[in-house]
Amino acid sequence: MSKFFSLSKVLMKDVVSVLDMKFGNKGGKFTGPILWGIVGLCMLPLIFVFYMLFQGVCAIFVPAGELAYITGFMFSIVCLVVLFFSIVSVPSVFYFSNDVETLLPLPLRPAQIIGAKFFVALTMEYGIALLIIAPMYAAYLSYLPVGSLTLNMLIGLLLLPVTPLAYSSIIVMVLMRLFRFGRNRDFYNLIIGLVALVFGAGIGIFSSQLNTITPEQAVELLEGNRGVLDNLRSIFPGTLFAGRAVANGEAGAQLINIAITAGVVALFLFLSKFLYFKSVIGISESSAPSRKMTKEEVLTGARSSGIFASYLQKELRLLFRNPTALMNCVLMVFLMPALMIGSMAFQLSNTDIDLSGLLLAIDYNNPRVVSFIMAGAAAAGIFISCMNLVTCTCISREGKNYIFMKYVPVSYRTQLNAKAASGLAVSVAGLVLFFAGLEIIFKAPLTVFLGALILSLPGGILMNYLGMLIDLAKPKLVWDNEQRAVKQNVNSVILIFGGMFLAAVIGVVGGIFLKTPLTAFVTLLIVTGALAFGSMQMVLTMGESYLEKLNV
Amino acid sequence: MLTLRNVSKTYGNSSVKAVDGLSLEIGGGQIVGFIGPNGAGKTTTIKMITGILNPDEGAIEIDGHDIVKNPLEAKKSFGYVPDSPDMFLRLKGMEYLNFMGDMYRVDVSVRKERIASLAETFEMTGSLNAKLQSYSHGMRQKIIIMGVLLNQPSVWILDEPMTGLDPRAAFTLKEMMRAHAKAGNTVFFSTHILEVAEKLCDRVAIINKGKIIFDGELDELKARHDQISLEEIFMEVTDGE
Repeated sequence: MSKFFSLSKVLMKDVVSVLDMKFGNKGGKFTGPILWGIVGLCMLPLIFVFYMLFQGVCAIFVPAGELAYITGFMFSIVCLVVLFFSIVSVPSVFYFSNDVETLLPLPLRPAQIIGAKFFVALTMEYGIALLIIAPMYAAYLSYLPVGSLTLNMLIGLLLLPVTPLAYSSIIVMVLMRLFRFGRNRDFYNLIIGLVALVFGAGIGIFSSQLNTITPEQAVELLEGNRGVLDNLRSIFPGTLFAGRAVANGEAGAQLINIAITAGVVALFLFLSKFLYFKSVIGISESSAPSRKMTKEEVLTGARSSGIFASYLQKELRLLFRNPTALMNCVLMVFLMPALMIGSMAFQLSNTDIDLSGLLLAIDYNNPRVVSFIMAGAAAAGIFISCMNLVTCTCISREGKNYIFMKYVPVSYRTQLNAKAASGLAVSVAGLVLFFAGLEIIFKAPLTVFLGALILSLPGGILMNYLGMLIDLAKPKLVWDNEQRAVKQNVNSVILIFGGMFLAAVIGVVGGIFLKTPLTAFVTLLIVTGALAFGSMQMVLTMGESYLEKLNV
Repeated sequence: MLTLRNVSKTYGNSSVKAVDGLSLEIGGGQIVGFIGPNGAGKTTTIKMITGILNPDEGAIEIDGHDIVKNPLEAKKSFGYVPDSPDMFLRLKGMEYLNFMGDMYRVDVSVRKERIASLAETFEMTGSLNAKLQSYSHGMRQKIIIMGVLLNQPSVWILDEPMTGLDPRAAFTLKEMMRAHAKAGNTVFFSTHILEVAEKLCDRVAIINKGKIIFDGELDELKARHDQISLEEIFMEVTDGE
């Protein structure tokens, strides 16, 4: 048992480091907690809405004496969410942590390795379970006497994520055993990234819809879907007994819950002996073997592109072939505006507002309207480009290989400009698609469309060079997993929040004070152009000295 | 030609110099092995030679170009093989070589012949269409060496170049190092494998605690220590320092 705990402790450090957000390579003692505090604050409104909604539900079900139904419902919902999240997280703990081949030669039993990994995955799920159940349970408690946080609830909560995690682990092990493509880390990251994006968008729409659901509607929803809940209970049978134990204080029900959970864990351990080790050995980061080159192909394949173009090509290849960078740095530029427009359209469709009438009502001959559009375009250029995390992670993504930048006989200026160009290419593509999309919807005159597009471009230059400056000043070069260079890089947060603030200032000030289209266009072009030029000069002058000093 | 004059480096606020007043002059036609225990200052020295770090004191010249004052010209004169070949892993072998060819301005007609020849020498022709990510450690080491040799720089600086190479590739590289030096060029490499240094080097520089404690021909070193092996000499001179 001591080996199991020692191993779990070591593997747990990986989880702790995942949560450890840092600014640059060192970061202050409180940087991580402060940043997670901000993330927590951002989630408070959603938690509050969830609490209020559930309170309304409890107001009907608790007086009716259906306590077990409510508690069972809470547990079932948590199990479902944990099942979904753990399917995403299990492969990284079980398959892509690159430690199994180190652990196997150690005097450990297979069950100890699998058990420790399961334990590590379980601790990750507790956070999610707690986040969901806390507002529901708080609402539930508000209808019960003070001090009702029972031992049964604590046991129920401890056991809650075990069953869904065991299910998802078995599902993942079967998939990994059957399909080789799942064992490719890049492919996995791409799929997981896409799922996470869709899920994120879903949460966004769900939380905006949650505001519009009344407690009465929620009660109706629950009453009308008792069958669904019964199905959930048969998938997670422990929840029925955990619910009864919490609601009615039935010790017997809790014992059955414990027995069911133990049974599920035993089943998981039994199956994993056959499924896990056979699929985890030899897992790679690479794709299928590629076609072999002949000598003739080698001769024709050698070609020259020039220093800048070649460096840019290298940047783009590494960016687009790295699923983590692609999902987080590039795709958000295209998805964020689409999500915003989609969410807006979704919300409008739920109101009585006539969308097509609204679009037709826009008077492009009104100078005030067009100057508003110009200010909006300049702000959109900055906003969309601050979603582009290509340059604000471009030094961090180099990791230990940053030294290449220092020993290659190419000036820092050329290298930095090529890196900026890779980000700029993404921004320009995003802006062109965004404005083209708006043009299809709004059918603005060509001059307005072109004016808006031109005004948005300096924002792209500005945010890309500013992002690079941030990353040059505090790059995160020490990482063992490239996801940490992108996802846990505070530089991205600084750029996003800074960009949003700047976009708001430009949009609001421009919209209020610039009253004719020409004044708006010229003034905004000069202001954003000057900011863009300034940021470029700052990078090119300060960047060299930052690179000179760089030593990790 | 590689010259280090009284070079020193201290990290951060440390009171200990990682490299302390180091001087070396390596002329053409020489293979110099740079050996020393862990933390002796080998990597710091190589980082300063290649421009990754700036020295606090002293000067470094490569083919007459000062690495601090005239970095681009100095960098054009050497080829550097870092200790870890895990770089640009998502590029394909051919893409990597073309990229290196562009960075070092290797003419495309010359590049074609050199890539073909190096790929054949290192038995990499069939693998150039694959991403570096799919290569073994040894193959990654080979492709990095190929990228450096593409430019045919006069000074080779190699940090633990034999690590991970199979016997055939290691033999080939050693032969290439000999041929490069024989043509009047400079080879400077660090290694922990003293047998390699013993068999390959014309000269060794032993560094310990940031200072060169021996710099000279192997025969001279052996003569001083009653003809015992380099391994035994190394143990003797670095012991208790």
